[in-house]
Amino acid sequence: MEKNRFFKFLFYLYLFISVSFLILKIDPLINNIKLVLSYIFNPYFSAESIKKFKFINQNLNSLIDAEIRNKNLENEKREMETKLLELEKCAEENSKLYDIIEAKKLVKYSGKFSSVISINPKKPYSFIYIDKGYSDGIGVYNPVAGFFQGEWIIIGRILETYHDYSKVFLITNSNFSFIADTPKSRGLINGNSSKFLTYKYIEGDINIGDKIFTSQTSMTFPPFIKIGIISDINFNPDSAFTYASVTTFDIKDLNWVYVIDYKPYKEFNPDL
Amino acid sequence: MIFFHWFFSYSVYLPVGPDIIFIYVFWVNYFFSPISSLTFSFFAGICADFYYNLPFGTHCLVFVLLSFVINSIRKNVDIESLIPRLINFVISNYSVQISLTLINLIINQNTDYDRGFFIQPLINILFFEIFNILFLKFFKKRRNYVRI
Repeated sequence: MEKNRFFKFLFYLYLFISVSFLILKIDPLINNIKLVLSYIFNPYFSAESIKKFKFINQNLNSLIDAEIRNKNLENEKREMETKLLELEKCAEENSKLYDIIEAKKLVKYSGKFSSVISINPKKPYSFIYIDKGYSDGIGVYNPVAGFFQGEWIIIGRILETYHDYSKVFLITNSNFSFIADTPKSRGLINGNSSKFLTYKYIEGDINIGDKIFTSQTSMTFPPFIKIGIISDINFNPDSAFTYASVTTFDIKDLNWVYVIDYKPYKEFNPDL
Repeated sequence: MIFFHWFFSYSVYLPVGPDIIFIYVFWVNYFFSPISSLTFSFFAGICADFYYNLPFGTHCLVFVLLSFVINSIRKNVDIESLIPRLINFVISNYSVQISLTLINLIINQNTDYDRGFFIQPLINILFFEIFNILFLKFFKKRRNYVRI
């Protein structure tokens, strides 16, 4: 009777342990133990196997040695990956500098390169901030150009300057308007708070695909700097109401700008 | 036990090796005391779990249950007669195979078909009978049943 109770106790104990093994899912640990044991004892059966027991010490030492080497290699790999990241950054920086040098060859005006440090996320096409201020020689009303797909495009002008940063009023701002030319027309460009500008009060002929530039008569910008391309035209019987949509720069591609050293109002007399 | 299992598993002549661990568990449960056979079954289960790639604990659980069942019914089974012994062995072996497959299915959602599922019990019984004959030949005595 006592044995029977002990048998039942053992049965429940073994059952509990077995179920615990299943629930705890210790298979990864068991696999590791299997690997270590198979490495130490060599699982392949042969008459030579018995000799393998002599080398248990050596095998254990080599196992520990391999683990240490593995750790060292992991550290080395981490260091190399960090260096690689730095190198990738350097390559990226190098590519940017190369672009700037190439872009500089195309620009006719003197000025200063600057990086965009802030864009208003709610109204991205209204203002941006750049990392150069009056201490770097940036003046109010200086035109600002951006380099997009191998071409300089006018993007705005300096509105406010501070010691080491400035605020740029973008041409895409809905309150910005200025005179612009196509090869066969002249009109007024107006911002639309998007990458599409409105070209209105047009005098002359326009076609889709015409490039549009800053005008010679503009008091805001130096002439012949590209603004964009006419992408859509809304014709009206009264030509005064014909207007066109002009595709200009995409704000997401704007990383650095060129502030042109140009003072449109330097000879302007405020008393007039 | 482990040595035999190891040896037969590496055999190149048989596509499916006999499950020596199961044969031992079955044999022990009929010819040893319930407590010894239950303990043996548990540790044989741990060995089998180390050996096979099923979730760890599967063989432990199945062998412990098998041991409990055999110890409960063995008074009513005539293990000395060939036919009841064969029937009992085959039923036990297929029960173990089905239980292992089901537990594997529940835990791993693994429905892979094991080609030894139907063949192995038949190989097992052949080896079980060979061991039985050898045992009787060398020890020249009939084993006694253990009373619970």
